[in-house]
Amino acid sequence: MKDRGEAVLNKRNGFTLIEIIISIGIVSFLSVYLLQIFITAKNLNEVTYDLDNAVIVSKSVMESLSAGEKIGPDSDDIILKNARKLSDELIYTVKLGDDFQPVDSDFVDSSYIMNITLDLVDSSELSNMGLYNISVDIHREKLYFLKSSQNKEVYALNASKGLLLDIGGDTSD
Amino acid sequence: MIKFKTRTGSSSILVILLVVTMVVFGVLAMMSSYSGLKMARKTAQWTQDYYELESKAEIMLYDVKNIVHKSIVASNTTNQDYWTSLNRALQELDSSEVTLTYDADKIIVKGDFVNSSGDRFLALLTLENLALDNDIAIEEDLIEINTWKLIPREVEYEDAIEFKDLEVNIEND
Repeated sequence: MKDRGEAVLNKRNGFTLIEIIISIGIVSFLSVYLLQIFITAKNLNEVTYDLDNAVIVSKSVMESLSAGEKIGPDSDDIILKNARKLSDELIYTVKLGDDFQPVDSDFVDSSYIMNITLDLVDSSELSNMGLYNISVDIHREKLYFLKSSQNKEVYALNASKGLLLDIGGDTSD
Repeated sequence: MIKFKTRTGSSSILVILLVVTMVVFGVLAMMSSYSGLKMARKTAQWTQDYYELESKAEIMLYDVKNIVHKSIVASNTTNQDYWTSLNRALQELDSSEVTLTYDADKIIVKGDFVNSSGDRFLALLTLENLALDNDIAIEEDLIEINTWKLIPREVEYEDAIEFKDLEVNIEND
């Protein structure tokens, strides 16, 4: 009985300590590169999400302006409604959250910032219309995972449109 | 069946299999993300191209609207004066991209704009010689937009299988 027990204990079917240490070492070494692959994939997904949404939001703003929506609290467009004038020129800014919906202008940690710039190229008093160069650009405020670059431009859309001269309301803070 | 004398190194094989599996999943995830990003970039570029071309048409429409308003003011609501003034003023727009077709009671303004990628934007406006009175002298009645559309370039799929290739293979077989 004692001999059989000793025989069972002496069997060495499992991994040795050295083998496990070496295995863990190899896994640790290679996992650095593996993690990089997964992090890159995650960041690429985020870039795609940003770009897709930025295009949709930019187009939406452009079409709302084209349809005669004014910029300011009276607007029916939720983004134009939340636009705040930065200076005397027709430059507006909208803070956007993770879901590309506008957040309160006092909110500090917004994920994205949209700038809408209207540049009056020509105006006609007769028709009360002006030809505007409209520029919509969206910047990302939050950082990508394990990346340090901030305030990265996600998308910019430019167009010329004939709009009413009083397109920009009084929306200054 | 092969019987190994020792099991030394089996943990290394397990580690290698694990790493290979992770690499495969990582590469697949990255490929999927990258193809999504490529599609998003194409959509973003198409949107920019569309608005670049539409801007040219918008400038043309703005010019036509201005000319109509100036002609109305210059004519003192006399129909003949308005039509003569309009005909003369519109000739200024005639260029390689904007062509005018004069008819007895209407003028057709055709804008055909092309960008570097080969996309075309077609805008067709009709101005009819309507009787001018206080009710009708508004631009919506005087300018009719018949066509306002993008004609995309032809897309060629380079990896498409052609029927002639199959025929050749059948013949060879």
